[in-house]
Amino acid sequence: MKNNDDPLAQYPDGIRADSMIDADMEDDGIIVADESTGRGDNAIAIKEVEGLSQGQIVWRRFLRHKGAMGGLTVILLMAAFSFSAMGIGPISGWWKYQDPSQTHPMHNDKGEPTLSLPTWLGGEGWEFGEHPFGQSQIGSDYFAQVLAGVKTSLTVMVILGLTVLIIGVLIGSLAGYYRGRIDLWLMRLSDLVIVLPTIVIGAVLGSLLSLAPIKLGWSIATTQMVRSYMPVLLAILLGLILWPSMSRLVRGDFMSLSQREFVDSARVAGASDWRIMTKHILPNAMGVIIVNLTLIMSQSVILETALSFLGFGIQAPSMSLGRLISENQGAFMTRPWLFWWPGLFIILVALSVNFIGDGLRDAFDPRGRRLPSKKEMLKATIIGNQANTTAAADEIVDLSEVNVSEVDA
Amino acid sequence: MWKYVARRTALALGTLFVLSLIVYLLVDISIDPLDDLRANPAPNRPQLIASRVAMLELDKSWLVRYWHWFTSFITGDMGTAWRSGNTVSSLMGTAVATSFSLVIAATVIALVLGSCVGIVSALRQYTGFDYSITFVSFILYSLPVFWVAVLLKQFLAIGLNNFLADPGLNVVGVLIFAAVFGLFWVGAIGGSGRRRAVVFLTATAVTFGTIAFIVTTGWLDHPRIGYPGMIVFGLGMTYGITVLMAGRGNRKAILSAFTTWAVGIGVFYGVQWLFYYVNAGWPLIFLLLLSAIGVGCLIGWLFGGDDRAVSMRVAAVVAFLMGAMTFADRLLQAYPSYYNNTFIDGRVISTIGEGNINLIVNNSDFWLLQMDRFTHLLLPTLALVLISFASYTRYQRGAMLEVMNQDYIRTARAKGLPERVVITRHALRNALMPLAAIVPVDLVTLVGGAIMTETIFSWAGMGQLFITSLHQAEIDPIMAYVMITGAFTLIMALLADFFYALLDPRIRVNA
Repeated sequence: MKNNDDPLAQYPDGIRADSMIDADMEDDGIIVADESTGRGDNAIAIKEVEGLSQGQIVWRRFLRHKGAMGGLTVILLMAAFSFSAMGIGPISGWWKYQDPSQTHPMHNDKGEPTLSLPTWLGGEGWEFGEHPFGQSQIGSDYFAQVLAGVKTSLTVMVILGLTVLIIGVLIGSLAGYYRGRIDLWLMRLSDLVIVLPTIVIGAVLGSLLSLAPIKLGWSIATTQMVRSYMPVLLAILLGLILWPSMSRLVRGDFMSLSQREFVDSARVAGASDWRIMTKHILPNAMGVIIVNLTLIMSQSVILETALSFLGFGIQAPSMSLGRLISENQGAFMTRPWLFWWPGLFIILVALSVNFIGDGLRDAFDPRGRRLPSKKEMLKATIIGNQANTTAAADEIVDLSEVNVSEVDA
Repeated sequence: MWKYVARRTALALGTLFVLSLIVYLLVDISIDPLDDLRANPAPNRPQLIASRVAMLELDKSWLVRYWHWFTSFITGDMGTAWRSGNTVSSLMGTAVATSFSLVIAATVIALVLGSCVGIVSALRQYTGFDYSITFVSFILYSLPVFWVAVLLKQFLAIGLNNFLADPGLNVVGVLIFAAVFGLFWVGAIGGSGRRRAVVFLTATAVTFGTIAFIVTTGWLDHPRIGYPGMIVFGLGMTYGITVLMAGRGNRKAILSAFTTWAVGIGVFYGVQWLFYYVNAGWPLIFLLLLSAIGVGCLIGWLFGGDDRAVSMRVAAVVAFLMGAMTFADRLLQAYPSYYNNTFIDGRVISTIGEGNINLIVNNSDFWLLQMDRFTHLLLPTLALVLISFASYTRYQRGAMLEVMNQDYIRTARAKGLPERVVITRHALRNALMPLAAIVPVDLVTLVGGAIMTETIFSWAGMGQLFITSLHQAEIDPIMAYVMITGAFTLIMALLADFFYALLDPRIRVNA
């Protein structure tokens, strides 16, 4: 986003921010009591964004969003924990049972979780134990199974996000920029995909992935490879059906942005189509793309686990949280932990991504703004009053700013 | 106009055709009809395989098979599920109705609740209420429907059945619940500190009192709304609707609303006799509800005044709700006999199927059968509602905020209209308009979500048919599902555009 071609950057940032705040004041129905003295609210906002580029303003707003920061922390912790415990690719993790499908004798009566919380959290002292999340009906270590499932979910989420990002943005930008026939075909194609619920096509594709090696008579080595890379392959296949919503949004943004003056001036200056698209339009469409991407990613977690629950998703040897729930369904009354752990992690992943998306949406929304606390408002009003009584010259500057902002709006 | 509809229909048919071709190819690769025979140790395995290959034409190209399917499909023959030998039409007939009853019930509930909460949340923007609703809707939005469904089935249903068998009052739990409820109303109603305190105490006390009454007095054994309920709740409801829709100053509207309420009480008495002599049916119920609305309109019209339409609207809504309460009361009267029915045996909340077959076969009482349908609908609907409630709330909140920022709202305020009129007449109508475009599209998502709920609750709906057919490698039912769902989606999309153009005069339909 830190880009000199950004049209929003052509005005000094203070003024740009000022106009944003003005519009926002009306939006919120806040009426500034006295034009000359009531600048307290604005003064805070202007001071905060002084000398920053649009990208920096967005980044700062994002960092200030508590929900998004919480979500980001949780998801990073989960990723670090699951990947370090269960390993990445050939590298083994620190957890003693690296094979989730291996069975063990029941550690205690029913294979209950040995994890206990520290005393200050209401537990019986911190202990990790032999099987922290308990054991499944046949005695597998549930900790290893659940964390392997979390790994799968995160992998699917990231790969699917990347697939959708690449395809959706590529097709959407081409259709929005060149219009005409390619646009027409894109809309027909996305019509086709949108007609069926994603879970229906997803089930067919998942089933295809697990049956294709047998049906097409591939060699055992290839079949093995397909099996072990199941999450990646499934994510790519699902990405191939989830891109239309992204490309429709990108298309719309590219259509309206390519009509703007700065695109014309870039073209007059001799910029190629590629340069206009990547350097001039794309940075401005970034907000829509990123926010939509988080939505798709949180959906994908749910979709993957749902498909695995139905038996059309991830197959053994890869683990999936949805499959854990479906496999242990019958035992929930006697072994409730088999239900709670996978559910908890699915919800945590989806919730965190949703919160990150919410924070990004607020950060990119030019009308969005943090409400200053009462203390800040009071302080700024006092400063504003002092300034008002001393300098009348400020008023003139003020007026010019207002004019510029109106032109801008 | 007709040209537009014709063009859209042609486009939809083309889309369906291409869709059928692609899906047929995909499904053809992803199923393996010979799966069970490959591992079959029987000595006549080659013959078995050969006969099945011949039956399903597996030795021919997929295009040939597609062509055979397609030609029979357009003549109305949807094929057979070859493993069981049933024709797809016989399987689909009931499945479609089952699925849609589930989806429509869930949509209506989620739509009404979600929109109301979203609108209030928008009106209380940046308050604790708004933040809490946002947070809750985020959590609901992140819940996987299959997890919720299993949770409801495995934990809630059993707990609820045990509770109904032996109701006991958990004072602390109910108090906490009542307090949360009280806080909800404080947040929704707002106002000064004093008013907040009054609202909180009243709402908490009423909630606690109601639950305590229900649990301790044996009401649960013979649940009814009855005259006390009709009078008290009816009055409260009538008052609330009148204040919201017409304001305290509109005497004519108040008079017509309360007259309608009084008539409703009278009809409540009469209807008890009617249902005693006549075994009801859905046509009769709909007829009664329609005539209730008609009577409401008539009362409003008779009171007249400058603003007849307002009085008529208020009275019609009151009449409809009184009718609905009368229906609910009569339904509840069937509860004791349902509870004691030999096929139910006290386990009222059901987790499997869309109805108790034994009960349906052996009983003809309309109310008992509806009670059975209701108890079976309860959990799957709840699962679907929880999920789609969140998106409606978020959506409606956004739409309302958007509208509240418009210039015409400022104009309405500036010309001195009371805030109630600004919100209900100027803002609400415009904020609800986008729903016409959203709901049809959302129905499709719910049809997808219903796949999960139907599978978990063993409802013999379309979704379950699709899943079992995919597991069993039967292509005909899958294609029927795809075509029906696809056609449904396209019709809904057409309807969405049509309604939107109808509601929003700025949109012109051009061919």
